[in-house]
Amino acid sequence: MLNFLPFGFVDMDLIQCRRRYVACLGAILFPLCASASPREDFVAEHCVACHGPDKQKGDRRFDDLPSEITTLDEIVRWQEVVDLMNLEEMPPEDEPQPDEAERVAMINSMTEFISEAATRLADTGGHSVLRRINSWEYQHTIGDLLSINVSDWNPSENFPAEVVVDGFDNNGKELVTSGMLLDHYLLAAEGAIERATHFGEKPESQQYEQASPFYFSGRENKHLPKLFHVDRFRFIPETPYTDMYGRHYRGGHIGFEPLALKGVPQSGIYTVRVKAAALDSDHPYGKALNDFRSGDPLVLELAAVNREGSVESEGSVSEHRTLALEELTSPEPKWLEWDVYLEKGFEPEIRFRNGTMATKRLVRIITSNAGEHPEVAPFAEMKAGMEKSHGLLKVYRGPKLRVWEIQVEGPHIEEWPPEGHRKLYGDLQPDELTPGTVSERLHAFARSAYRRPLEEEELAPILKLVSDKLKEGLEPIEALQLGFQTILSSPSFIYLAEGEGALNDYALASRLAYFIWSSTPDFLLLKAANAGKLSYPEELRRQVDRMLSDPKSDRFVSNFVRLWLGLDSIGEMPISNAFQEYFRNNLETAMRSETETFFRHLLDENLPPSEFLTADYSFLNRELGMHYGIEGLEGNHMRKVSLADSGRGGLTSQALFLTASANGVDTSPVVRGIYVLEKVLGYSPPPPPPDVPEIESDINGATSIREQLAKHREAASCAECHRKIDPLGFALENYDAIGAYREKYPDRIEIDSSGELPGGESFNSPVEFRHLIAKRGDDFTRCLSEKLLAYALGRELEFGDREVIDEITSGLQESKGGMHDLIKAVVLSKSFGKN
Amino acid sequence: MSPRKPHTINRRNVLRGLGITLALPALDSLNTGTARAAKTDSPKRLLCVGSHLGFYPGHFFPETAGEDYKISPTLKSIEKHRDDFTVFSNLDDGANGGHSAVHSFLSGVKKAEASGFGAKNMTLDQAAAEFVGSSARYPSIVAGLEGGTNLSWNRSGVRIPPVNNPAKLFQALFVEADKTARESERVRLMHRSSVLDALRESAKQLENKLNASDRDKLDQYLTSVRDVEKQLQMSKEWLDRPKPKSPIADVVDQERMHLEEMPLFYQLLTLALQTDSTRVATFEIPMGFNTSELELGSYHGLSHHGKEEGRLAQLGVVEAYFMKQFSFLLDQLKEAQLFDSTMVVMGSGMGNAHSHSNRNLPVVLAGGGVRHRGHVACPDESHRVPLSNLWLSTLQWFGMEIEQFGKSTGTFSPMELGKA
Repeated sequence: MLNFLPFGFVDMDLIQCRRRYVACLGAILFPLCASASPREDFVAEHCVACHGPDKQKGDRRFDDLPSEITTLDEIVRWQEVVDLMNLEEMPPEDEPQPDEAERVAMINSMTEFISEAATRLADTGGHSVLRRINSWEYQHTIGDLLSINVSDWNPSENFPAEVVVDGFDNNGKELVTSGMLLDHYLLAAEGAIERATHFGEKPESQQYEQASPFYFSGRENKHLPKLFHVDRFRFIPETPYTDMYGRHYRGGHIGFEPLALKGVPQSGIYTVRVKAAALDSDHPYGKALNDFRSGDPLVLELAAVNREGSVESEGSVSEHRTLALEELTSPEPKWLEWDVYLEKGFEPEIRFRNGTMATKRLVRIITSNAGEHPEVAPFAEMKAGMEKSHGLLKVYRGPKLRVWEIQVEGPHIEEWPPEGHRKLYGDLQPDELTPGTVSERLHAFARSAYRRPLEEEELAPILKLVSDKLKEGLEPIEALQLGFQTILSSPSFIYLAEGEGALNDYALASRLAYFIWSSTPDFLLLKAANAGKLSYPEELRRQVDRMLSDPKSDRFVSNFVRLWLGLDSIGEMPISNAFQEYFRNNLETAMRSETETFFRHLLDENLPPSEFLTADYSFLNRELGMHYGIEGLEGNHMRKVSLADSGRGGLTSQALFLTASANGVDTSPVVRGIYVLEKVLGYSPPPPPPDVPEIESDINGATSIREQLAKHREAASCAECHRKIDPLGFALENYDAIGAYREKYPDRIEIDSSGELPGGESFNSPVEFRHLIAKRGDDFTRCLSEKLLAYALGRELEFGDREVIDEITSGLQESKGGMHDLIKAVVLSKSFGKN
Repeated sequence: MSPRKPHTINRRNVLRGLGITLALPALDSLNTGTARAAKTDSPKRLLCVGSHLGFYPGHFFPETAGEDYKISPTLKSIEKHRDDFTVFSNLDDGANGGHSAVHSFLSGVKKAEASGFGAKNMTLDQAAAEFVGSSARYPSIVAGLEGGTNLSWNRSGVRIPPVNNPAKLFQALFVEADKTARESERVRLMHRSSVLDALRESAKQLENKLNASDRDKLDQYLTSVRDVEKQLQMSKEWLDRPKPKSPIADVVDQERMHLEEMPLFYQLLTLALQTDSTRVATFEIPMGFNTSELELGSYHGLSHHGKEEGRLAQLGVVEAYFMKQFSFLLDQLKEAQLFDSTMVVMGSGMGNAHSHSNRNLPVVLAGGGVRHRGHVACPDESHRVPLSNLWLSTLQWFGMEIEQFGKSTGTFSPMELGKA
C-alpha cells in the first residue's frame, strides 16, 4: 500500500517515519477498522488493570483512551503512555512484560498514531494564515517601495527575532505580532519616510581628496577622533606614503580627514579611489608572527563607518560595513577604484584586514626576538615610548599595507528627486499641499504600499487622522507624513492577505514577489495583475524568467540557503579559539559565498537539482582553496574550480554545510547525521524519548564516540533511529567543525569514517559515501521541492500538498528539468495558485 | 566569526532602549495588580541571573543534602552567605535540546512548544513585571553581557533583548532628558495615540473580510495596538516625574572588558532596585563570555571539557569568577537593605554543557526574607518536581495570586517560600 510513494531513502522503515504523508494515510485507513486496534488490545492487556475503571493508580485511567484522537488533550494522554514505555518504566517491573519486539512495534505504532493526529489537527486545508511579512521581507519591502538603500540603515534591524518552524521563518500561522514589534514598526516607518523625502535641490557631485600623511598632531588633530592622531603606533612618515602594520585601529586603520566625523552629506553612490601597495608579505619573523601566514596577499578593506556616538577604544566607530576587499600582492603602487553606496553621515575608512592582531603586540614580539634580527637590536633596550615604537616600525620587515592617497567623488545621482520621493509626494512642493492633494497622495501611496487597488472607504481612518491633525494646526507636510507612517504600520501593509480559494491576480503577484524577491511586487508585476494576465501559465513563466534574471533574486538565493541549511545557528555558537584564524581571514563569508554561488550557478544554467550531490566542481576563492588544500587560487573572488583531485564534491563536502552541521567547537556524528537526513534526504527523525542519557564525549580517549554510539544502539528503542542517523554522520567525521579535512581527532585518535547505510551499502571513506549519496538524486529533488514549496507558501506542507510534490518531482524527472524549471514548477503548482 | 557590529545607540530616546521594557500589559487585571502591590509595606523585588552554559555539575552540586550540607567547590565562593541561600538539585522542566533549550530556564516552556500555552513561554521575571505594572518607572530591566542567553520572554512569546551597554543603562536610570527633548517627546506621544486609533480602526475594517484563523491573527495585531497604547500611557505618566540622582559617578560610554562590565552591571542593577526605578531585573551571562580576559581558553570550548583535568581546572576558574561576582552582588543587596525584600534567582537552563543536557539544572535561590534550607535535594527518579513549581511559589511570594505557571503541577513542596 505504500508503493505509490516514489521516494524512500534506503529502506521501508524510513518511509514509515515520513510522518507528514504516511500518517495522514493512516487517518483514512484507521476508521475503517471495526474491531479494537492492536494498540487498544495492548493497553487493555498491560495497563488497564492498574489504570482502569477499578483502580486509577497515579490518577491515570487508560481504558477510556480514545481510538480516534480528536483533541490536543487526547494527544497528551497518549503521549504519556508512549513516553513511559520508552523509558521502560511501564509496565512496572513486577508485572508481565511485553517482549522487546512487541514493545518497539507498539511504541512505533503509537508514535505514528499520535503524529498522524497532530498533523491532522494542525491541518488548515492548505491555507496560508494571514501572513505577516517577516523582518527580512520588511527590510526589502521598505527599500524597494521607497527606493532607499537598506544595507546601512536596516529598518528591521532591531525587530524581535522571528519564530522558526521547520527551519523557515515565514510561517504565517506561527509568526507573532507583538506590542514590541508594533512599536518598532512605528519607529521604522518614521525613519523610512524621513529618508525617502528629498525636497531640496539636487546635490552637486563633490570631490574630496587626501594624500599621505593620514595622521595628525598638535592643533591639527584637536577636532579629530583618536584614529587620526599620531601616537606610538602611528606616526607622520617622511615618505609620500603611510604604512599600516596591524589589523587593530591603532596602526591598522586609516581615516579620511576631508569627511571625518560628518561623513558624506548625502546618501548615494560614490567613487572611491585608493593608491596602495603590499610590502613584505614574506617576513623573516617565523612563528613569532603567528597570526599572519607568511606569503599571503595583503587584504585591503574599504569600509563605510559611522562615528556618531562611538567610543575611542573601538576605533571611534559605531557602525561599520565592509564595502570591498581587495587582495594586494605587488609592492608597486596601484590605483584601486570602486563605486560604492555611502549612507549620509558615513565616511570611508581603509583597513589592513588580515594584518597581524595589533601593532602594540607586534612591537612587543619583534622586540623580544631582537637577538635574531640585528635591525631590531638597537631598539630592544630603549625605554618604551614614541622613539622606540616608531624606530621599530620603521625597521620592521613584516607585512605592511602602504597607502599614498585616497579620493572620493560623488554622489552620482541620476534621478532627482528619487523615485521614492515621487511615490510619496508626486511633483508637489510642501506649500502646495491642500486637504485635496493630501488625500490624493495618501491614496496613491497606499495603493503601492498595499500592493493592490484600494477598497472603498478603506483609507477612511487614516484620512480622518490626517484631517484631524490639520484641524489641530499641524503643518500639512507633517500631517501627510504622519499619514504615510500610519500606512506603513497598518495591517494591510504588514500582512499578506491572500484570501481563500484561488488567489486573485494581486495576491498572486505578491506571493510571487515575496517568493523570488523577498519584497513587494514591482510596477510590471502589478501591471500584469491589473491586466488580469497572471492567471495564464505562460505569463507566469515569463514573469519567473524576468524575476530570476533581476539581481533582486539574489535575495531568494541567500535567504533560502540560509533557512534551508539553518545557517543562523552558525552565529549562535562562538567558534573555538582553535579556528579563529580561519574566521579572521573571512572564511565564513567565503563559505556562504561558495554555496550561494553554487546554487546560483545551478539556477542560471538550469542544471538538475541532483547536481548538488554529484558536482565535481565548486566555487572557491584563495582562502577557501587553502582551506580545502587546493593550491594556486589567487584573489578574493569566487570562481569555478574543479574538485576532481581534492576528495570533495557536492553539497555535503562544502565547508558551509559541514560548519552548519557542527557547533563551532567539535563535531557529533548524531548531529551531522540528523542534519544530512533533514537537509538532503528530507526526513526528520522523531525526537529522542525523554530521559535518554546524553552521550558524553570523553577526551581522555577511554571510549571513542563510535564505541559509545554502538553501546547506545544496543537499546532497541534507540537502535531504530540511530542506525539511520549515525552512519551519515560518521561518513563526514573526516571534516572538522569548520569543514577542514582531518585524519585524527584533536586527541590523536584515528578517525574511522566507515559505515553501512540501513539499506546495506557500505562505505569506507567520505569519497565512497559521496558516491552512494549521489545515487539519491530523486530523494534530494523531492526534499528540495518540499522546502521550496513550504518557503514559497509560508506554511507547513499538508496532506493535500503530497500530490503537488509528486507532480513537481515526477514532471522534473520526465523532462530532465533543472533548477530554473523547478522554480517554475513550484510557481505553477496547484498549491501556489490557491489559498 | 564575522566582525561584530558595534551596537548603535538609539539616538531618539533612551526609554525605548533594548531590555528596558515598557512593552507590557496584555492583562486587564494589571491595574488591580498594581493596587495590590502598592498596599504592601515593603515592595517585593525579583532579581534573576542566568548563564548560558551553567556550571560543571561535578563541582556545583553539594554531595550531601540538608541544612548542614557540605559546601561544594563551586559554592565555596558564596559560602559567607550560607544561611541566606538555598541550593537545589534534581530540578528541571524536562526540556531537551541542549543549547536550544537553555532559554526555557525561567519559563519551563520551550519556544517551540509555546503556542500550546496561554502565556506562551513567558518567563518568571516578565510575569512579575506585568504584575508590578507602572508602579516603577521600568516594569523590568533586562541586562546582560553582549549576546545574552535569551533569558527573558514576554507574554507574546517574544524575547526581550538585554541592554548590554552599562552606560545606556545608567542613562536610563539617572540621566534626565532636557526640557525641549521632553516637550517634543510629549508631542510625539500625542501623535502616536492618534496613529494608534487609526490603526485600530483600519484593522477592524479588515476583520470582517477574514476567515476564523486569519481573524485570530488579526486579533494579535489588535492586542499589539492595545499594548502600545498602555505603554504610551505609562510613558506619559513618567515623562515629567524626575529621575533619582545618581549616587555614583557617571558611567560613561567606553569599551570595557567583560570582567569590568559584570560587576558594574551588578552595581547598576542594585541601584535600580534601590532607587525603585524597577522591581524586576535580570542579568544574562552569554556563551560568548570573554574568557581570554582571564587568560583561559574559550568559554564554550572549555565547557566541552571531556572531563580532562586541565580544562576542568580552567573552567573552574571561570565559574569561580561568576560565583565571586554573585557573592559581591549579594553583599551589595545586603548593604542597600534590599536583601530581605528581594528574591535572587541564580542558575541556568543548561544542566551539563559538556553533554548538552538540560536536566538537573543548577538553581540557587537567595534572600527574599524566607527561611533558607541549605541544600534541598529533590527526588531524582520518579516523582520529579518540576522547576516551574519553584517559579510558581516564587511568584506567589512576589504577591501574585496565581495557581499555575509554566509546567507547574502545584506549588513547590520541598520548601516553603511563603506568600506575600
